Amino acid sequence: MKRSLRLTVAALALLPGLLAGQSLLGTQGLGFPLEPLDARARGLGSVGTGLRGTYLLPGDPAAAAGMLFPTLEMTFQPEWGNGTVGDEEVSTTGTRFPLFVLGYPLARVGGTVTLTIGSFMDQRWVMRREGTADLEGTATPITDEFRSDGGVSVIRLGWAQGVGDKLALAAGVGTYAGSVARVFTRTFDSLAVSAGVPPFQEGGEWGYGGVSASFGARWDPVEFLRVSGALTWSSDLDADPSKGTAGEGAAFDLPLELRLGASGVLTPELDLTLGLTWADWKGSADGLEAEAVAGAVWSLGGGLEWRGLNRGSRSFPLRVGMRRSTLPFRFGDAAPRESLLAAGIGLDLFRVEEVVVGGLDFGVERGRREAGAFSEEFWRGTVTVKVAGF
Amino acid sequence: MRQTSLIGLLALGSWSLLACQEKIPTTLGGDSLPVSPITVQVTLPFEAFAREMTVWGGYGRPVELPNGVVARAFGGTLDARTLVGWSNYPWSASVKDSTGTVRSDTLLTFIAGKVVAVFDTVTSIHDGPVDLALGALQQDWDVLSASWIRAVDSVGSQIPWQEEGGGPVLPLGTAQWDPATGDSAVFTLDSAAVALWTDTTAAKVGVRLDALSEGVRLNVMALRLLLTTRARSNPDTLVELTVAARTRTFIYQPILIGSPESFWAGGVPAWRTVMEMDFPDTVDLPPGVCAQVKCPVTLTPESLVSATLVLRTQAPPPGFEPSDTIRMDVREVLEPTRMPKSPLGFTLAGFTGIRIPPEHFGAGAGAEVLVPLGAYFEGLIRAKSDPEVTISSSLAFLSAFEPLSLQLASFGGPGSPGAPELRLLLTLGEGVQIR
Repeated sequence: MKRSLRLTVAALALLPGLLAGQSLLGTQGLGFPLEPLDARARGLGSVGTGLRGTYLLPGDPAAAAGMLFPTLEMTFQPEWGNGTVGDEEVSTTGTRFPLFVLGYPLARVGGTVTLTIGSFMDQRWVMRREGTADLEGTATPITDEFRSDGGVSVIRLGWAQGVGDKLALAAGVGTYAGSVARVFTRTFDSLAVSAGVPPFQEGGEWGYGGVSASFGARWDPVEFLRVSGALTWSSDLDADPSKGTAGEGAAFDLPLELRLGASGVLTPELDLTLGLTWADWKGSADGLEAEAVAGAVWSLGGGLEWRGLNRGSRSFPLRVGMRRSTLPFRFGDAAPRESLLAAGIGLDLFRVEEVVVGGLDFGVERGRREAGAFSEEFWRGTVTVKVAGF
Repeated sequence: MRQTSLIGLLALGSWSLLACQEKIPTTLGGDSLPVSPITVQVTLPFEAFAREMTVWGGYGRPVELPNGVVARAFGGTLDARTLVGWSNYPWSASVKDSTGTVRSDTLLTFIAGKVVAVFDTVTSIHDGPVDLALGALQQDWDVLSASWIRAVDSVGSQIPWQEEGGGPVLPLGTAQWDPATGDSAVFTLDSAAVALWTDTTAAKVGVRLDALSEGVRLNVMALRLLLTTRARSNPDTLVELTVAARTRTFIYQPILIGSPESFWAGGVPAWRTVMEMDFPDTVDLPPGVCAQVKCPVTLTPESLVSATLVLRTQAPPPGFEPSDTIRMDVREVLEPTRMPKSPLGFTLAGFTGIRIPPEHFGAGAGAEVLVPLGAYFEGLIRAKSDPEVTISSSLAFLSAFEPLSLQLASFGGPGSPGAPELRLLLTLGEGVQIR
């Protein structure tokens, strides 16, 4: 029952992973990292920490403090990528749902309860190899395919509380969920072997589990400056084989993650935001080999948000930003890097007096990933639908 | 504003759908494939996978076939004759009188008749026109048990023909079938012959159709008696009436005797071959493969990709060569100790069976016939370690529809140059892991 619940909730969060793979880099390590960010953060090139206003993001748990109305947000994200590995071209397309959040303020105690379901790793990819098998002296063409299908997400429950006018603190606990099916298939050339020889297939399915805890703080030392930070600790990510899976389980060491961000008001209509993340990935005896991880990875990003575009009482904030990151799992011997430019716009669809009760945010990113012989360029769109005051 | 919102939502939906067509990252650079198992093919001789083989005969009777057979010295040895017993003559006919009114006439006068023999033009074997003879049988016979030697061959009653081969007969005439001009031969009967079968006992005994030309084997699809009668109510009108065949079968010689060196399926009465599977837990692999995996290799359901029984055709006994595609079935023998009457399991060869062209038993003898047994063999492997898996180690090879025809599928048996072999395709790997 517990496992069914875990997989069901994970399926909700991992709808992205079930629909599409992200990048060929996902063939390494635990997969391709999927940050649970909304369209506003994406449009600003932000790491999702230290933005102005009140919002719901797993990477900045204190940002929900001061929320006036119950708020529900859902984000989805189409992506198109084209890459090369040596002479081979690899393209990817898909839509995923990296973030689902719910914030519920409790006015009596002045805090906000948050529930976030966010993506963590995408593990959907296929590798193929063509070759021959020597069958009693006859070289028989074969095609091998290794298919990985699944991913990991995190479900977090948190509490954000304002402490005075300038400080807010937050804490949350979460659980890792999801599963992956890994199947190897060898197909034999039907002209070379007896008719009716079925493909050889072996594989298994593993369910993920683990816990995490987050602590966050937001500080507004002066009216034009905000500083936020969050620290996330995770237990090992346990991969347990399902019934009928012959493969062994594993426990992957997850790193402590630090996030810092700040925003400053440059003019009454223009904000600047900067942020960084840091995590030190390590191998473990029953998890990833040390050579498979890139060690300490960081991400630095920031951008500008201009709120000068208004129509009546509604504003349409415009955003631009850029970001550079290193990624945790080596591709061959190389540590991958990602850089991107971003832009975005907000759209308040429904307002009741000064409160946005229905809105949309769009973000568009154009980026590039590199790791040794691999390079990839991608377009990524992000849309967040926001409903409040229900 | 509402319109703007609607447009915004539509644009949003359209945009998101653009990437809904999934394209998973796929690389052909498979050097880094997480697993790399080895596939090997092992061919086991009969002694390495089966313990014994028995050929059983006697399933079904010629009467169960939809056709009769006539042959003379076909293959130098095969003689076959078709026997037909007639129903009683009709006692009335509907005839128009001189006023044009249709009346039932019960005062019939049979003045002539003919017997029409219809042949299968595709499967009959001949060199050209075939001379045939029709004779009235002179002795009661049992359609279920009649054979070349005996008119009746049932439990408690064995009555030989006065003359082997259904004889003697009262000659009724000869006819020639020219396959180039049609599918029928017609024997014209005189009034005396017609009068012969007004006696219902004589009609029941019927006729024997025989080939006079040598080296032929014909499949008889029908034998019809057509009577010409003059109606009393309108003497100017001649009416042709059909007399149905009450019984039909065929008798042949020589009688076959199964041999342990031959693997038979088909014929009538039909033959089945039963094989007792018995194989070790491990198999040896070629030295080159053993350098990569630990030998001998234990057979496991996981490592088995396919198991194919390889049979090699051989010429059947002279006269019994197939002239049409043979369809062979394979089934588990559910209670081997009750053979030859053991019930059989579901087919392992599909509804239509394994199709084998007739050439494979003639000029193409020695051809390989592949019988896929993957799922069955996997079950046998599982049964060795899991007592809950119930599967019979006895396999029966038989005609897909039994009996199907006189023709016989024959394969090399144990000890012969074309002895059965078992071809195993194994893939040996370390298994898929999460790391």
